[in-house]
Amino acid sequence: MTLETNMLTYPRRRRVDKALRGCTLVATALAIVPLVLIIAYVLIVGGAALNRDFFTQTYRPPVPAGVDPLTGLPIEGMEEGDLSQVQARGGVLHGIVGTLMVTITALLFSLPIGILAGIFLAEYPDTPFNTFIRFCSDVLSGAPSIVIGVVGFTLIVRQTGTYSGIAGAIALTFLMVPTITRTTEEILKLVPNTVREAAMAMGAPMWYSTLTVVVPTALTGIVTGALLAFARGAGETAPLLLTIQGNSNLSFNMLAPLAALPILTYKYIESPFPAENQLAWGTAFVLMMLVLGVNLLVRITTARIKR
Amino acid sequence: MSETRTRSLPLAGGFAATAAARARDHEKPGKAKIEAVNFDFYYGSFKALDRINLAIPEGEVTALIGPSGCGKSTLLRAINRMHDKTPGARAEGLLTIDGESIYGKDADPILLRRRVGMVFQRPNPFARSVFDNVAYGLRVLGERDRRRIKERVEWALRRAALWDEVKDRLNATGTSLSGGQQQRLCIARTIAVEPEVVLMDEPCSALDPISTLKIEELIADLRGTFTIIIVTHNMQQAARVSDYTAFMLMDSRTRAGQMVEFGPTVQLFTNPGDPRTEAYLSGHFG
Repeated sequence: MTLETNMLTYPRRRRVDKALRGCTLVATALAIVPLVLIIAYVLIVGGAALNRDFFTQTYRPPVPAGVDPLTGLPIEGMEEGDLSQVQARGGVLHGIVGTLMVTITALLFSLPIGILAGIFLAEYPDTPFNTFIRFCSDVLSGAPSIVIGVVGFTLIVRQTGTYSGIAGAIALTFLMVPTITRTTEEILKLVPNTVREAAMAMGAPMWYSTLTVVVPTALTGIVTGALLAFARGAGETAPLLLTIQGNSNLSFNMLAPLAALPILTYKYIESPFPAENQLAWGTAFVLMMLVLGVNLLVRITTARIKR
Repeated sequence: MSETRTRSLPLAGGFAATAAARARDHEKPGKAKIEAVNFDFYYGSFKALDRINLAIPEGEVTALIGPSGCGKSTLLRAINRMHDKTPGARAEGLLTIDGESIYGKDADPILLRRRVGMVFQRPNPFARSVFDNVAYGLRVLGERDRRRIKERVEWALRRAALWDEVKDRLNATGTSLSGGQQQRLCIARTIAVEPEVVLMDEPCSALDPISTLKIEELIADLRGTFTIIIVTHNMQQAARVSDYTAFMLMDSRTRAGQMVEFGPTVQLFTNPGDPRTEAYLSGHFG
């Protein structure tokens, strides 16, 4: 093709290029706009629900102005208001504590299992067992979380006869292990083989080189996977509903029902009391901040290590 | 060779002692350190090395040269069993170090690799400090005495002509050094445990000319202390650094690597015994 004929098609090529670039732009906007709206709405409405009580108080019954929230009796000398005017009292300290207890326990269970399984998948790839584990892990990580809840309910709650924090932690472990396993495996696969060869040529046994060279090289990635699993676990609702049930009081007992932030969101957003709806938005805000914070943390640490 | 082996360098006692004992057992001059007798190597059904016969003398520098695909890297890596984890790779025939079969039934690859160190084509320091890189092999051997590790690290870095450049930043990551420094770091890491044999797989191919020169000077300096086997594509380099040269070629029909000629480097380069060697050295193919 000569330069002249090539030049003739130039306006058309430029139009096609512009049109396609326009399409990608519109699609990106369609994807991003709802996301930004959700985040902004939660931040604005949920942020408004935050105050000192929110973080320091537990549940208080929503009562109209003029009624003592502890006794439910009218306060003398004050006029009783209607339900929409209830005092915004109480907070979600019990939910924050419950979420932290259950998620951190789940993380303690799933970190060793997930990381070791990830090491096995990445470092011993030629075992026939391997494909099977990877398949199970993929299915498990794709399983609807309510299924995990049902399993936790049947296996632990029914057997022990009580909802409990530990049952919730085990259910979350089912969810977190596959995530940690697969991220660990993927990250370990990125470690250049030359590094393994170097350790091997030093006469290091496989376990030694894995522990001292391969895993440390991939440590940032593994920590990232753990943090993301933590954030995911903290936001799960369905498995917790069926395992820790929820609790209106502050409790530190892992063997009894506990509260959790997502459960409070679920309960309060259905409430007829605007004050409780406010709390629901507040818990949504806190959960969102948790995920956001973890992601930021991951970005900062990886950026610092890459330096 | 024995005078280099009996250096009184502090290392985990048993290790140095066995090295010295081994040295006393074989004091014949010009003794073969690594010997291949009708050695074949396969990747699955593909025969990569065909009846290799070779006796690599102790304490000397031996270069393996030949065109791409002739099997020189395969042979080199066979010496410390780096193929062990490659599916389908297997050895036939005899390959020995000090007369002990490398692929024998009760040969332990890990003990073998402690005697046969390796420097790779691309510098591959660990993502740890310079100090920890060099100390790695010592720690693998079970050395825990901090003072002795420190001495050995300094000795190895001096031997690798790197000490003056890194002595003020031993805590910097190994990967933060320049390419040439990284390669010398890898050499320091390898020699820190005093292996008997050092394998070098095209150690300069990823380096600039000045770094290459430094590595070549280093090889000359290490000569005598270690038995060095170097694979190189660069014939001038082979001529400069080696005492003996092995020339390999790929059989055009079977594609298996064969040993064409082995002899003192001077003789091989000035008066080759095989016309194919002469053709290769004069740039007619390869």
